[in-house]
Amino acid sequence: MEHADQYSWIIPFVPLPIPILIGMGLLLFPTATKNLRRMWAFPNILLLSIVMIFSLDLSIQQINGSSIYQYVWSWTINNDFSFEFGYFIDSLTSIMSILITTVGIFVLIYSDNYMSHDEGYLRFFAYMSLFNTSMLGLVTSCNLIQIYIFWELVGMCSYLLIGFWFTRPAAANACQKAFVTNRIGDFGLLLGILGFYWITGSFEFQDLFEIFNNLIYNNEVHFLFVTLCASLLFAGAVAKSAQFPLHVWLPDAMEGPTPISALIHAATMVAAGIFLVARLLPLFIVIPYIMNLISLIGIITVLLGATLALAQNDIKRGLAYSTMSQLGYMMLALGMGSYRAALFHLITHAYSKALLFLASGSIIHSMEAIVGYSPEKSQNMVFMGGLRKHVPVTQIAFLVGTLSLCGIPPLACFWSKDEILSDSWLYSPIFAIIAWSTAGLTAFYMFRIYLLTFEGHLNVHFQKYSGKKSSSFYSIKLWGKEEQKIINRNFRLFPLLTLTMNNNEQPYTIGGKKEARITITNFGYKKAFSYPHESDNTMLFPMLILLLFTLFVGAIAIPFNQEGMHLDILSKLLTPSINLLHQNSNDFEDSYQFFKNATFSVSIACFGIFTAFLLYKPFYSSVQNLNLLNSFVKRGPKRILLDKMIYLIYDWSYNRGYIDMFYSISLTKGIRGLAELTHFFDRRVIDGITSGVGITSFFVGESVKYLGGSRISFYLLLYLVYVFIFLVISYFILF
Amino acid sequence: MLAMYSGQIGSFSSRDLLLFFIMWEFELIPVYLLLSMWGGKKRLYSATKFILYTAGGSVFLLIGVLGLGLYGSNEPTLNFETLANQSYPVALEIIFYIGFLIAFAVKSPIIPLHTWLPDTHGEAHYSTCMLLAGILLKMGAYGLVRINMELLPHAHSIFSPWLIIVGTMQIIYVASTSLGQRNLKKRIAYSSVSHMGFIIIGIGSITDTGLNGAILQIISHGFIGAALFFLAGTSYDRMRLVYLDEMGGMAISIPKIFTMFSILSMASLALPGMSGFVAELIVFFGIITSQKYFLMPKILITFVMAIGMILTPIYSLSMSRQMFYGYKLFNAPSSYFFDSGPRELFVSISIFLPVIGIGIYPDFILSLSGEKVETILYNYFYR
Repeated sequence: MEHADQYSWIIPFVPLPIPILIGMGLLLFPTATKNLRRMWAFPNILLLSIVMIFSLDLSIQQINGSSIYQYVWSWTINNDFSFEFGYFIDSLTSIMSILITTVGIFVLIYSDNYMSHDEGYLRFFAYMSLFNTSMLGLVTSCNLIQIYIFWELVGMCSYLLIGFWFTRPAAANACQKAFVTNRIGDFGLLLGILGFYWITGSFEFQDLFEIFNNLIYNNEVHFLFVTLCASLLFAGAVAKSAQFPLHVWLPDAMEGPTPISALIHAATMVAAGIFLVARLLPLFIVIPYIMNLISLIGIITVLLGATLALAQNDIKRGLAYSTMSQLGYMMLALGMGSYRAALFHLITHAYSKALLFLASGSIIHSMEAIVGYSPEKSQNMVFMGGLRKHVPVTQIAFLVGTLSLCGIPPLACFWSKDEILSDSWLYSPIFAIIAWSTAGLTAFYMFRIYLLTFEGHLNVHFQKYSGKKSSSFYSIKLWGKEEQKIINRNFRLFPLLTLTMNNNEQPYTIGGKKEARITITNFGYKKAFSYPHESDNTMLFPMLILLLFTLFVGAIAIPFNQEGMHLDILSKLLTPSINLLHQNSNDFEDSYQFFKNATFSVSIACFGIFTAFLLYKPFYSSVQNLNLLNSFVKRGPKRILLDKMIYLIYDWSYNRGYIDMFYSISLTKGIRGLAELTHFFDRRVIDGITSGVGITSFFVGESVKYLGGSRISFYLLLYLVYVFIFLVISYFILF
Repeated sequence: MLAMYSGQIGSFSSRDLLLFFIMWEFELIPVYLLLSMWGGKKRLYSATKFILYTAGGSVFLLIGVLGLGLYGSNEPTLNFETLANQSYPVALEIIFYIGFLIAFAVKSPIIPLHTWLPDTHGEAHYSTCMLLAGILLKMGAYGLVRINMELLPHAHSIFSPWLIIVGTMQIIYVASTSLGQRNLKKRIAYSSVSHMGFIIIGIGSITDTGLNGAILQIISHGFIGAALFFLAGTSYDRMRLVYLDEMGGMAISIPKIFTMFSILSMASLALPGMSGFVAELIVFFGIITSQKYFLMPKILITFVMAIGMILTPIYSLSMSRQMFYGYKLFNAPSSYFFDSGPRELFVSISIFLPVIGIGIYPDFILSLSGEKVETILYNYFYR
């Protein structure tokens, strides 16, 4: 197997020929290339599978004998400085590359169908494999400069892919926002890299860690400066992983096609920040405050993401906020120093979230046929509901993903989340309480999404809450005119319901009467509507595979306790790495503790699910539920307070915590103002000076011309005046 | 145009100060003619502004040249090599230095003297713009390296902190000015002024790396700026619009130009893999490793430069967003809307290839420039 190590530098470059070829083809022979469109998808997937086999092989080697291969060759030759390229493969790299390639393959297969009707099918595939290339380059890179290069490239791919449907102004804004926000992170990253270069004089991870540890040991570094540099480095990770102050781009990034959201904004690219922090953890550990900062940022993001996810109408935005919150968990785990838990959660979350996104993409795909091709409609959960009957496979996939994310035992995320949560007890009780309660919130909002989407009845047909939406009816030609009239008349009956559903505020205030009406109206016209259909097999297949992953990936960290050996794959993979908290308790002797934690977290999750059921149970389903709701209504004065609270939370969440607004006011306006100011300054002052010089010279010239106007009398006068002055002066001097 | 070329090549290749000056003056005339004949509405204004600025700079250049030539020897010598070996009293050197600096600052441009550039670029025909951005601006930087650094090392080491400060100010200031521009070409012009800031910083940080970075930046910006102007011009040919807020939705009708434009604006904001990134990175290292400055100013300057890195994508991406993204129907006759033909494609790709080439393997340039850089810098440390 030696050859595999030698040639593993090829990993990032295997998918590279495809974007180059497609790009050249599109530029030079557009029609010929477009005719071959499906042909291009196959080499794409093929190459990625080759990479996957490679990385599997590597990780098997890592498991057997945990070793690090590094090869370096020089890029720039000069006397003073040289950048070196190389690769650096350890357990972290192999985990990440397996993750990227598996998710990447499924997303590619999926998007072959999803994008098949799109104009930019080829462009999409080119971007995708460019992204895969740069992401693989990122994880295999061996020094900070190389990381920075691929970091930027990944950011660019994300920019291109978010702005994929460039005709949509929202997408254009979103991609620019994403790029600029990421650029702020890159700014921090670059400064941090330069700072550490200045301290240690090296970019290589190994040398960097060694030198730095020596310096710390000898107390030779300026402490404040080091902290500054480290937090700047961390800023890069913050921006990429959408942590608290720089998270604004992630929900907007959902403007891109859904496979992109699954690949980039749920599974891989956002994990790059986590990857960076994990990679530099030896560095961060020796600087104490940084670890606190990381965990603080993590916990803020956990809470913020969860609260913001509460009231999103857009299904993808809701998922995006939940991604953010989960990334916060990973960051928290890293900040606590439990490297293993963070990576474990990274893996499990990537699979579950990719599954969720693919499922939601399938929903959107099937909804698009009905409500029209606009993200406000096809991704709006208000219009969904009752999809369970129509898209059963997707429903199962989504349900499994949801349960996994909530932390229900047999599924993937349970294991990892539980690990993080129990670690957080060891770290600090306050953080632990927040993390626990957020686990409940997670369960709540995930089930809210699930229930709104799949339970109840299809809400599209109630849409009449604003006049313009009715246009989508006209786009479907299946209906006759008479029917439509009837529908419209019926719609008038319950504007209130649709209105409240639109805002998602207090949907349960609707009492029994209206519900009765709804059930009646819904009755007769059910068959007149076209229903969403299940997606094609090409889309279902990757979803099912990912579902299997979600089911079983948790197993890699389940300790096989037979024969007294603690043998779980993940810890074996990560043995040489760092464990701050688990120095003594790495063995799972305290299984009692484990079960206690597990039951506690599961019960919290169940509580969240139950609340979600209570609030979002479809109104018109059963009589029992009606009674329940009525009992809710009857609670009296308490309810008003509760209402207010909930309203407040919804408001907060709906407006995205006012952070976007704050940014747009303070930063965008500020920069615009600055631009105006400098422009004004440039025009008026700097240009004004030169124009002033020009104008004065013009006037001087004019006046000189006037003076020299060839009139003899004037000359004589001047002459006499000067003679007179001369005389007077000489007179004064003489006497 | 050919006359302009000969002037430019002449000034780059001249080994003699007087010849340098003559060529310097000589290339003004064709540029002036090009501007005043093929240009926009305000072409006469901008042409006059251009000629006044540059001629004003040339006066100082002439002073410097004559002073250098006449000083110290019996008969006037204007040869570079003999001059480089001479040493001058510090006061005189400073005076000469200021003279040359003003001349080159007009040309390159450095901030208080940059306003001719956006006007000129805003009005000129795009091929003129390409030449202006690609070559003419580089003459200033070239002169700065060639004369100021090589001939007047003491004064340069005195002035270099100021150069760096001016450079950082220029990056920030011009980048934020560029945001306020509504004219497409003016925005590109300001962006090229902002990139000049990196060159100045690289020259000012008297290190091997910094100077290499500056030279690399000169070359890379020559390509990128020229290509951007070219693409702006070609899309202008189709749209007949220069103001950014009137544009939009161009990507559907001209996908190839859109592709090239977005690639090149990426290159201009220093995406890795393109030449701009390498150049800026090397300049950064030059600053970091330079032994001349203390820690705090270094941190401060790097910090401010890096802020410039944030501003750059804001303006260049919003430019391409306003031009191409979105969806808009034009009332202009659609028959003008054809995508770029093979000729335009050829030009843009042939400009683009060196950009990528330098970005991936910068040794092409560095191996050429490295030796000269070392000899120049030799003066600073061993004399």
